[in-house]
Amino acid sequence: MNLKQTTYFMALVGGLAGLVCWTVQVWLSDYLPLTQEKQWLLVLIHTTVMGVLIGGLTVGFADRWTSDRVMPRWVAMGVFLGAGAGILSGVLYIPVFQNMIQDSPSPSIAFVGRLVAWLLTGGLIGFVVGLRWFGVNKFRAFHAMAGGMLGGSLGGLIFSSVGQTDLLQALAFVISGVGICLGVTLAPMLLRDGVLQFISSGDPRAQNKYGSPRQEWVIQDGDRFVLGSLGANATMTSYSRDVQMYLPDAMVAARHAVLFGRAKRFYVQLHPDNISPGGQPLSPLLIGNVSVMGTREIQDGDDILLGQTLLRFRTRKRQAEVPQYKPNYPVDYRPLERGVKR
Amino acid sequence: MNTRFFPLLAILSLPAGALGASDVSHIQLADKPRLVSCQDRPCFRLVVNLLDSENKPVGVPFTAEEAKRRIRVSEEGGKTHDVFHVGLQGGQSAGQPKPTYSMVLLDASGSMNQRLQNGQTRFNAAKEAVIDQYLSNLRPGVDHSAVATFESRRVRAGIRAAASAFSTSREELESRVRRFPRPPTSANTALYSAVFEALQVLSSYKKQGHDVSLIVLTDGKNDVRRTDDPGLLGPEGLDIVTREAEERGVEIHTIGFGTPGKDFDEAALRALAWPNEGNYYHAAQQIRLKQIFGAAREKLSNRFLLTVGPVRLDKNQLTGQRLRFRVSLEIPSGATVVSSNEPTWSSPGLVSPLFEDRLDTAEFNDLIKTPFDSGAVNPLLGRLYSRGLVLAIFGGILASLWFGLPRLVWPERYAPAPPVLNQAMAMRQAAMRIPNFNAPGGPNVGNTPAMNMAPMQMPQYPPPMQGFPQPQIRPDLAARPATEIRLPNPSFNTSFGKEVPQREEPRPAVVMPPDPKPEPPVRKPTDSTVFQPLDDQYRKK
Repeated sequence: MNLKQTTYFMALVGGLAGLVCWTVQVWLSDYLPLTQEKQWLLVLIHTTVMGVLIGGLTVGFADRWTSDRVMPRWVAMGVFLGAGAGILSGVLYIPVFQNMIQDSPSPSIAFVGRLVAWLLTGGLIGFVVGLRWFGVNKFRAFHAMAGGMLGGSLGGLIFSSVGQTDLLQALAFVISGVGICLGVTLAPMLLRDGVLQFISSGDPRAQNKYGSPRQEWVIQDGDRFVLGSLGANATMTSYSRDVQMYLPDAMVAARHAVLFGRAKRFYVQLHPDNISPGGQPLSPLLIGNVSVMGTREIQDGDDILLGQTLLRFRTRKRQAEVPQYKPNYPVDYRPLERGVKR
Repeated sequence: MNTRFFPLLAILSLPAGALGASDVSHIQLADKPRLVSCQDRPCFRLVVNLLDSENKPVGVPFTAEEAKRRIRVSEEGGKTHDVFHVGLQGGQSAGQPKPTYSMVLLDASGSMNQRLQNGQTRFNAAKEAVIDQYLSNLRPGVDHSAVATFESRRVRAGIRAAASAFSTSREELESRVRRFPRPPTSANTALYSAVFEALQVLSSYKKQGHDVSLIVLTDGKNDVRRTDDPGLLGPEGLDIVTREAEERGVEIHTIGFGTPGKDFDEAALRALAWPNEGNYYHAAQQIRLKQIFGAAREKLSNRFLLTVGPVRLDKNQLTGQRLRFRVSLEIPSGATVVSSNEPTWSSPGLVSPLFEDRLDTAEFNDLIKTPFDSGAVNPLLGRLYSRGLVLAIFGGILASLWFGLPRLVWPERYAPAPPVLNQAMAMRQAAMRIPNFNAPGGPNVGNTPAMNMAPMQMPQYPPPMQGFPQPQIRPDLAARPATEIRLPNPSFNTSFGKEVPQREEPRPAVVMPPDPKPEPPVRKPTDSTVFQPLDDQYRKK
């Protein structure tokens, strides 16, 4: 899926989580008699349900779209971490309620307090979702956290201002979920430095999975992606992936290449697993029709060929100025023609 | 017709010199407004004390019905609500008095040994006031009390020991108080720790639904030193204790004995008083101390319960709301007295408001007498219908956004999978100098192709990309007819070890023309960023 579709469907996942969450809390609020001093318990349940749903659903759907299979242990870990984030935000809600909502001298401060509570919930859940990409780039978790905070406060704004009927309250919860998931997905996209596009593949599996519409992977400065065909069930991690760009191509090695960014410049190199003892690539890696043996910088529009799969790197940002080699003698760059001597 | 005379009972229980309705100077809300369910409609329960100018409770000679007409409850925004139930919080309306639990904490620091003008020590004066005015008004079997002393050592143990012996017997409590020893002269005042511990004790009774109250008397400031018990709350403890009181919802009366500022910390005692500083008192002499203890006792046992509402049609309409109630009473003289404090009710920040309780029998009986539209539909069915409708609406919207809209916006996502593109394959073959045997006219076409697959078609989709590097076949190979290219391996025509039927007619032998005369290798710059050593031809140039 391209970036627009990823954002769209992840927002729907958040909306689904918000709807389920509203259903749970609205029935519990009817039949759970709690004094004002104990109402944080329902908030705790609500934030936990929200964290569980968003944590589990985002992992499940993201893996369904960009991995070979949905790994139950990864989904379970998403659920577990989401629950942790929900519980933590429920605990943090208590001082916010006591100081900003319950004892506030003015309604406006109470309103801000509600926004802060939603902001905390969205931020923590976003952080947990972003932890999946911690191995790629540690800042991605914080970007997702910022997105979740923004989305959560948007949902809280609607909840606190118009959530006075069942319909509007459900709308507020749906938008809260949408906001958190949208923020979590959008934040890395807005901060992206480049995109790796899938162009085509000779392997039907890759072509069918990513061909239409073309899959796009967001790349940020500081990222380190492993590209390869390693299946999810062959990895030993419990939450993130070993291979972040999965290419189901028979001619792509399990761990084929590494794409990384440093100082706004991006490079591709053969993965150490893909190099024979003799120093030759086991499965070739070509950039712009040239075989890559070591590390090679990629520029906007460069085509990367792994096995039978062709990817293209796109960036809108200006590449950093690089010192160009300038020979101190005249160079004739006219194409060489056979039989013509200069 | 409700013929209960609730204030009459209050008047009877007041000490001598009880005041009349015309002496009511203000109304004090003794607890937070509590959201209760009136047949699934949101109502609020308010607990109020009617007080005179000296903060002493007074009664008013109204019947409950008259009180309903005279009492008005309005929101901060100006919306006024009907009071459909008025009763004594003690539970007379329900027929059974409601138990109360109260604790008195007396300062036993060294300063309490100071003598008053009448020659008594402060400590003895406090003991006498407690016995005469507080314990004497206990309702047997209803009002449970405990009296404890505190200083700066064994604070927790002392309060816990007293709390283990709540009693409704005046004689028993009196004998305990009389046995309190003289305060040690070196003892300090662990005021915050003592209040904190007492709150822990009383909150357990509060959880059981009892009315609880704490009275703290001190003549000093919170003073904890190194020689005192470890773990006592220091100057920062005031904030902790006030938060704890707010969270536990325990009423606290604070009494400063002596001179404000000089003897005790008036600001701290005002902050400790809950629900507001109206529960702070100052006493310089014993006679005032007795008045205060008497008033505190009366405030606990003579509270009026007002049930108002429904304030909205549905409790969800209170989401995100913050309500502040003002209670006003029209007294017989025609004047109106209003509440001096207005505790707020705030809905939770992240969820719908919750009912804290349901109406008791007396409240329910009063509710059904009032013109109240409880709704023609069964509340549960009504909720099922409305919430089911909401779920259906949003479920339908989400389903259409998931399955419907993307088909219109991104039809290619749902189109049948196109034939495998071998654009990438072509590029790779070109890069590795491998001829494309599957190309039209190639050796595999018409013959048994590799892997027993049908001959691949050149891709028609997607259209040629702008700027895409076209595969560059080696010129000498590109010039030759594809049929002249020899298969690299005879076993290529077998698939997975199975016999592949051979063509009946053998293919004509491919005669490869001799390669042109090899030319001397020409070195050319491949990349401007790569250092190239000087070449001879460049030197010649």
